[in-house]
Amino acid sequence: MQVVKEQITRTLSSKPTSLELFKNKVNALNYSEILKLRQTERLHQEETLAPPVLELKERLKPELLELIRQQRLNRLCQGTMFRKISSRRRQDKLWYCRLSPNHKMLHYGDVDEEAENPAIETLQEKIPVADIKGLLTGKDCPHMKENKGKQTKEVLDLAFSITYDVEEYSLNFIAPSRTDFCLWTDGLSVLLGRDMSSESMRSELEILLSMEIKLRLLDLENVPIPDSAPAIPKPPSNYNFCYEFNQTEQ
Amino acid sequence: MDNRYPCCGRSAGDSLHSQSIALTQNVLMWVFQTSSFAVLASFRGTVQHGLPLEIGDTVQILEKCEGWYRGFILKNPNVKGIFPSSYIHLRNAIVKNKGQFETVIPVEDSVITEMTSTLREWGTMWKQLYVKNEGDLFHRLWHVMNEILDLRRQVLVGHLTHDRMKDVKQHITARLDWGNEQLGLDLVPRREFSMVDPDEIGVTELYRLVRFLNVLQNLIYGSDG
Repeated sequence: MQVVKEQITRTLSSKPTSLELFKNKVNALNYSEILKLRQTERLHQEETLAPPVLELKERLKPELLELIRQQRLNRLCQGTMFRKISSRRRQDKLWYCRLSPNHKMLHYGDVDEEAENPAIETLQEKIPVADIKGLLTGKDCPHMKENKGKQTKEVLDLAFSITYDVEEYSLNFIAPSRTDFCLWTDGLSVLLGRDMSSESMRSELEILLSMEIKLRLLDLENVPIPDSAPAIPKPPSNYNFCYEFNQTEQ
Repeated sequence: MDNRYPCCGRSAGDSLHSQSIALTQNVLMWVFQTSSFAVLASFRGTVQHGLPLEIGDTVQILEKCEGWYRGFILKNPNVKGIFPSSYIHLRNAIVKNKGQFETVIPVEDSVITEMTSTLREWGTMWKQLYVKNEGDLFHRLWHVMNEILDLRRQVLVGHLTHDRMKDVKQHITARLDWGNEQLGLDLVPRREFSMVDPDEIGVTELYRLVRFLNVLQNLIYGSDG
């Protein structure tokens, strides 16, 4: 009985007016907890998107995919340092590959150790983009087929090749990272007029889309969006508009 | 030159509501001007004089008739057309200067309005940062934009006193200026676009960011006392 009495007393004393309780509860939260709460709220909002918003997302995809295509080509124009992995030599040879600013020529060549951003003129070889016939990845690559079964999964995930000219020449790459693999395979796909397909592309598209949607729907914060389009009334009986001014009256 | 249809005469001193009752339904009548209508659902505009609308657009209304509004999208004021009133959402609004020159003003804090327009400006720049491979700043700005979005949501749903709202306004304005200033800085471009781990954000930037967000948090939730 005494315990119950104390429990009730404690409970009562810890329950001021509901506004105060709210205030105290909120003040008790430290900053990182608030961040987490907001993140959860935000994620929850993102998950429960109304069908019309999902439709809007689909309509926005093409222009955002175009941004990703531009970004990929810009990256290829910057170029990347690649290694030729050789079991015989002690040190891997370095080579650089970059796309010309007009996107018509792929330049490449051997370079010295850690040469930052070699100019196109220093790269001895080149392939016209128009001559590129195909893009291979992983175990389909000629340089991966050489040592059958001896290539590690890690290397297979970084390997890609371009085939060019009628005689099945190929230029073989081993990307320094999976990110570079995605950038280059996407970029080369764009040059070949094909869809991009890397996982980086998909996640970047999602980031771009999600922010775009949030910015578009700022004025609809806390407004319930109808799941399906409202009924359209029958057209008005006349079109004798009042206003023909450009400016509204003040 | 006044080429308005004669139906739109008004006398000074009439309130908006009595004016709308006086006119018949068949006549398009001037109602009021406001910039606080948001489009709830996409409208294809496949009717005569129809104006296509995208969900989330902001529209300004000129006149209405029989369940239709005539107006324009704020972003494109030269193109006017009609759309169903059921497709747009009327925000809370107050009527000022009742009479001939009355205007309807949305009840939305200028803080919110500024956050909205700043976020949209940053959005455009943010996409350019992406295309130009400014991976660091792209990621940093993404974080800040999400935080501002969250705080804006809190301000919208929260119950802030008038004084507190005033403080918030001043501080958010100052911090949004900071953000804009940050974007004006030249940065060394990264060779590799990668999603930088937040832990890898530079110490100075992190400090500024946390300070910025702490100020906002304190203003919204109240510091001790």
